[in-house]
This record gives sequence, C-alpha cells and structure tokens, in this order.
Amino acid sequence: MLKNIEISNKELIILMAGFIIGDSIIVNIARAVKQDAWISIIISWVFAYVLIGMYVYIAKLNPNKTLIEILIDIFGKYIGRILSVLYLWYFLHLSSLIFRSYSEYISIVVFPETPRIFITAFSSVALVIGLKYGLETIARTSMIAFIIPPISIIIILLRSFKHMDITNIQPVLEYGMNPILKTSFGLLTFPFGEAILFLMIFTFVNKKEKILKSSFISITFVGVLLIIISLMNIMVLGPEMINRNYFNLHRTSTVVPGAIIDPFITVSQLVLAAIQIWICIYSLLIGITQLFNLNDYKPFVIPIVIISVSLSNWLYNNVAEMFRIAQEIYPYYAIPFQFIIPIIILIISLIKQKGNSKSTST
Amino acid sequence: MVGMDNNMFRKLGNIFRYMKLEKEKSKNKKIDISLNIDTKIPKDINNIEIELKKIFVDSFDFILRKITIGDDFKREVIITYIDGMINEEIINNDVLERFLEFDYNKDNDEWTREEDIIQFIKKEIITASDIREVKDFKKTIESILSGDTLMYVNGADSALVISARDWKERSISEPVTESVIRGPREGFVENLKTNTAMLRRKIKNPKLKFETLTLGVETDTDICICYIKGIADENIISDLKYRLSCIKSDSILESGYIEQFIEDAPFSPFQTIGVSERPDKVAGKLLEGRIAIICDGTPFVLTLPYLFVETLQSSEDYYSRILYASFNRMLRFISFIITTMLPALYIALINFHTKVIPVRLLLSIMDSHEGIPFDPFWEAIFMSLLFELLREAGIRMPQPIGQAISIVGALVIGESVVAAGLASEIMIIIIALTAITSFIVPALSESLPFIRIILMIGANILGFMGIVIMLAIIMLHLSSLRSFGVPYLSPFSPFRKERIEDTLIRAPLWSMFKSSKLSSWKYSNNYSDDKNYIEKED
Repeated sequence: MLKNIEISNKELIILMAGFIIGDSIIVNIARAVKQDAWISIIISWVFAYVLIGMYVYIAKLNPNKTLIEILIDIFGKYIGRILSVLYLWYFLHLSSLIFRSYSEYISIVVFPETPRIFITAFSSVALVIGLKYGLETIARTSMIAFIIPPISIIIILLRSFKHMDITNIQPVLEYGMNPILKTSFGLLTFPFGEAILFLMIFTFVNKKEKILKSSFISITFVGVLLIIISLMNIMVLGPEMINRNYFNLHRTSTVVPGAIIDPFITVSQLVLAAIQIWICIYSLLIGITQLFNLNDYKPFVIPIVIISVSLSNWLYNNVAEMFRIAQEIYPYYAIPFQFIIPIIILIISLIKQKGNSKSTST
Repeated sequence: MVGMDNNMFRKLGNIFRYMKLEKEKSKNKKIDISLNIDTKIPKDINNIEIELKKIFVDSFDFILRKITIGDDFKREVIITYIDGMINEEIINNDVLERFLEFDYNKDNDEWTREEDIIQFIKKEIITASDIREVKDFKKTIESILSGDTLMYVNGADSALVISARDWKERSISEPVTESVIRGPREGFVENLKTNTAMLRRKIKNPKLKFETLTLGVETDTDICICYIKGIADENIISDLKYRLSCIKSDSILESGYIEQFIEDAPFSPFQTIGVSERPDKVAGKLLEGRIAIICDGTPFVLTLPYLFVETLQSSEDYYSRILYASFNRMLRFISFIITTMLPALYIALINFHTKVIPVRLLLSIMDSHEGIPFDPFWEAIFMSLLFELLREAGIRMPQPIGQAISIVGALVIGESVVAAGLASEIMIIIIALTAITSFIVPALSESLPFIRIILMIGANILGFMGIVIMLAIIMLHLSSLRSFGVPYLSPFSPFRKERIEDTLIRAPLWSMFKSSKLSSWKYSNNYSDDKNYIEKED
C-alpha cells in the first residue's frame, strides 16, 4: 500500500502535460506526412481523449491501486506478475529512450564535441536527487520549471511570425488519407499513449474525483501546443525542409535572424525530459517496491538510473536509427502495453464490478 | 530495507548526532552543578540565612539584610536581592519604610500568629504592587537570580517575592540591521518585557498571547512564544512547543541558539526561520499567522514558519505606495537572480557560448581577458573570495580601521589586480555587480555564496546546461524544504492563489487585508511532516 504521498490536481496537470509533450517538442513526430502533420496531430489528439479517458476509467474502477496492483489483482498472481515485469521493462525502456533522445539533441545541436554519455551522466545527477526527494518535490519543482516551455514557444512564435508562409501548408491531403491515419496511429502511441504510466501516479493525487478533468485539461493543453508547433514549423520551413530535418523546432529558431533563441528550446527540452524521466523511473521504482513487497524505493534509485543511462547508450547506433525505430517499430511495440492489456483490464474489471454489485445487492 | 530519510541533509545530521552520542557515551560523566537545595523553606530564619550564605558564597553582588521588626513581639525578616538588578527606591519606600512605620500594637493578634503572617504582611504592610508568595525554596533562589527581591519571615513556611526589577539597559533605538526610509524608528532591545510591550502596543488585542518558558540548564534564559490565537495554526504551535521541549542545552545566550536547535534543515544553505529586529515587522508577521519567539537578552526575534518569499519582502513595502513597492519587489527579485547567476553566466558565455554574445561585445571582452593567466572560473572564484574576505574584514574590524579596509579594497584590489594582469576588468565589474546586488537581499546573504559557487561549478562543466542542471538541483532542494510543515516555496509551488498577491508584486492593501485571509495559514492538503515513504504491504 502506498501512503502519505500527495500531489495536487494542479501538479497532476503539469506533470501530465510535461510528460506527454516531452521530446515531441523538438522532434517532429509526424515527419512522414510533411505538410499534413497538423491534420494527423488533430486526429490523434481526438483519439487521445478516448485513450486517456480509458486509463482514468481503469483507475476509477480500481481505486487506490497502481497499475502493478491492478495487474496482479486482475490476472492472478503468476500472469499478473509476469505482465508487471513486462510493464517494468517498458518503463525502463521508455526512460532510456528519453535519455537517448534529449542527449542526442544536445550533443548534436549544443555540444557537438562533448561525448553524449557525459551529458547524460551529468544531467542524471539532478534526476537522481529529484528521485531521492520523492514525487512531491518532483511535482513542486516541475510546477515552477514548467513555465519555461510555453514561454519559449511563445517567444519563438513571435520571432518567427514574419517568416511564416501560409501557402506552405498547401496542398492539403496531397498523399491522401492513408499515410495521415498511419501517422496518427503512431502519434497515439507516442506521445499520447505513454500516459499509461500515469496509472502508477493517479493513486497519489489528492482529489481523485477530479482526475479525469485534470487529465483532459492537460491533453487539451498538449494538443494545442503541439498543433501550434507543428503549424509553425510547416509554415516557416515548408514541407521539404520538415521531412529532411530531424529537429524542426531548432531549425525554425535558427532560420530567424537576430537574437539567438536556441537556448530556450534546449532549456525547455531539458525541463520536459526531466519530467518524463522522473515519471518513468518513479513509476518503475514504485512498481519494483510493490512487485517485491519492499519498504522503500530509495536504494534502487542510483542503480536504476545507471541501468537506464547505460541502456540509452546501447539502444541505437546513431540518430538516424533512432528516428527510424521511433517511427516504424515503436508503434507496434507499444500496442500491447498501451492498448491490448489496458482494454483487457478494463473489460475484466467491468465484469468484476458487475459481479460485485450483484453480490452486494443480493 | 533501510528506511532512508528523504532529506540528504538530515542524513548528515544523523551522522553528527550519532557521533555526539558516542562521545557522550565514552565520557559518561556530566558535571552536575545544578543546585542541591531542599524544596521546603526552613522555619527558622537562621537556617535560611545559613543556607543562603552557603549558596551565594563568593558572590559579592548578593545582598542579604536581616532586620528585626515589631514593637512588643519581635520578628526577624531577611531581605535579599542581587545588587544592581533591583530598584532600591521601591524596596526602601514600599517595604522597609512601611515596616518601620507600621503600628503593630493595633493588630497584635495577627502579628503574633504564625500561619497567616505572610498574608498579613502582604495585605497590610507592604505597598509594593507586584508581590507573589512562593513556597518552594529552590524557586526563591531562582527568583533572586532573575532580579526579584526576596523576603523571608521568621516562622512562615513561605516567602514573598517582591518584583522590583530594574537594571540598566540599552534604550530603544533604530535597528542597525534593517533600516528603512519610511516606518517606525524603533527596534527591539535586549529586555524581554520591553520587547513584549512593544508588540502589545502595536496589537492591542487580548488574542495576542505571550507564553513564557525557560530554556538552558545553566543560564535559565526566559523565552517567550508570541502568537495571535485564532490566526496562528495550532499544529505549528504545538510542533514548536514540542521542539522547544526537546532542547537540552546548557546555555541559551541568543535567539540564534534556539534557531539552530529547532530549525528543519540545519545543513541547508537556506534559513527556515526568520530573524527580525523590527517590532512592526514582527507584528505584521504575527498578524499573518506566524509565531514569534522572543529570547531574553537579544534584540533579534525569531519568526516562523519562514518562507522563501519573505526573503524578498521588507516592512517598507507595506508603507510605500503600490507601484513603488511592487517595483522594489521586482528589483529585489532581479538582484537575487543577478547576484547568484551573473558570474556563472559569464563563465558559461566565455567558455562555451561565445556565439551568443554580439561580436563587438565579444571582442571587448576577449580584449580585456587577454593575458590573464587563469580560467574565467578560477578568476571568478578568486575574485569572489576576495570580496568575501573584504566583507568579513569590514564587519570584524573596529570602526576606525574600517577606513583602511575600503582604501585597500578599492585601490589595491580594484586597481592593482587589473594592472598586474591577475583578473580582467570585466570580471571586476561582474564581481562588483554581484556584491552590490547581494546587499539588496540581505536576508539571503547567508545562502548566496553557496548558490553562486554551485552555479559557477555547473557553468564550468557544461555551460548553460550545467547552470540549468545545478539550478534544477537547487530548485529540488528548495521545494523539498519545509518550515514547520509549510512548504518553503509555498505561494509558488504548491500554488496558493490567495497568497500569490504578496510575492513578486505587492497588491494594494485594500485588496489584500481581509479578515478571512488572515487565517489562511492552514495548508490542509499539503500540511504534514515528511511523507515520502512507502509503507510495507501486509
């Protein structure tokens, strides 16, 4: 049982928004569809409400339980534990993916000559300290630090206003609907579907009846921000540049002559990546303590972070491979974690609840 | 599993505590100088005299006067006090003279009876206003020591405490540490009662409570907890009383002793208990629901809980008009950022991000930096060390020599360091700016050097990114801090709408001070002590 840790709903909004935006602020997540990226973002955004609504509903059906407890509850001791271990692997993998993507960005854009592992290791000091302090501190720090990303987006938007060309989004639907739908599916798994991790966090929120509202607020915020970024990139850079470039927002900011606004993006990327990694590893640590019936997660903080950092170094050989895997393989890899198992959990817990209500009524 | 503490500083504290415990174990001898006195007052006056002379042997300031009074029936009376701590006029006029003038024949019955003699003296003879009856002999000794005059009467089982305390003290003057242009010119003094009176004069309300207790085994220092009942949070008051009761110290000489015993994070560079010398400021804090601790013998009053925003507030903000006050708040915040970040930013710019600087500025910077044998990092460390040295020297020096320091500091350091090629001019400017801005936020002056150096190290390792990471660590530490259960960064995070109006700006007074808001110190959802642990599943 997890006790005594409380985060407010405002902090949940911030954490969820930060987590979902994550590295999609710098990486163009819908690169494949060129100028129609915004359409696929809108489609996946709409479906994200359904998906995250489902996650919240699962949490509501199994009150005060984390994902690991729900799994053991629903699938029994053995299958539940196997699935839990799979989920823990997923959390770990996700955290190392995030480590990799932001350190790639920084080592490509900001410090080309610094070894990537050094950047990751140095930044993980702050992450370790945050994890040692616990979720409340993480949430409060994120609350203050989260001011930076929207402000930097607004600054870039204002700076690049002159350089926008509305005709860049034409022709709309050049390649038909199919690639757009395919990309939207990818977008649903990354970034929106990753909110499955919040099934580990929802138990700490102090007003549980307002979780759905808070989640929807953060999805709305994320959707608006992503569409703004996407449209801005398309209008400033044009479809070809978008497809050729890995880090669109950085390119957009450098296209604008005059003041250098690049550090803003780097800082907001650091903030968002920190929120993501915190949530991932915190969920992982909570999962470990619950799976093995332990008292405290703190002895695991440093080992887990070290494993995650090293894993991030082994995952890909180079940045091109990273983007190929993120676009072509990751969506299918995420399907069981984000869709199949949650749907099964939902169905079984609905059946259980009906059974319960019948047994109590009779 | 080892249940580790959330706070890494607390862990360090545990190590210290453990070491202290071991030390005590190995010694295991405590010098017991506490007085071994009977609690009962001896009936025979001669015994009392012997006892007192035994206790106060070798104390020349102890005055014992034995007189015999009464017309037919004689009675011996001892009057004792500590020289220099009482008003002798009161004792002469209201006690001694009354004894001589009293007509004992009239009330001969009562005068001869032993049971009511103290009551009789209290009611009929002495005219001094503040009189108490004490039956505990040990307490009478304590009263003598704290400046009361004691009267023992032959045959009575209790003694009279005549409070005629009067000693020389500093008069009320303007506080040196917190000067204002507009506002009251009075500051706290060393006397506890004068201080409480100053607060009472500001808040004429019976709800303002002064609870006293004594701390320090050997010094027996008087401590006063002040709060306004109904506004201050009961949880915090009881927490404070618990912490004060845990103090097992020989001596309390200044409120700083108490502060260090009861504060939440002793190893943090940030203070979690506020200090002020101004009655108006303390009164304002009491009205906001805070608690003040006044310690006898020092003009510095502690206020708690203390939050980060209070370091940016000044009592003058509330006396000057909105725009100017808000402007000053912003100025203080900006100077806080400058004083902590400027050297780090400079190091990062020079070492890593030269492309961010406009070319002409870069040229002039590089020009001044040419020929300097050190890294910008070591240059900055060297120069800020110099500044800290000058600052400390300026405080410790006797006033007349202070002049010399400024000459040495300004001329020798400022001119010669550049001329000798040890530091660049830009670096001198940066350190000077850092110094000036650090004087704008004096409440943070204890924590500033640490933040500065942490950020400088970060900047030297990874430039802007290093600064961001170090800032993140500082932010994490700040948000993990609590002052008596209240989160340290409180109005910002956790976000409090009703408190945010008095932070970076100062909202108009008519919009801020509504009676309902005064009692908003209750942090219902986030109030509690350390909560970051996971309980084992049964």
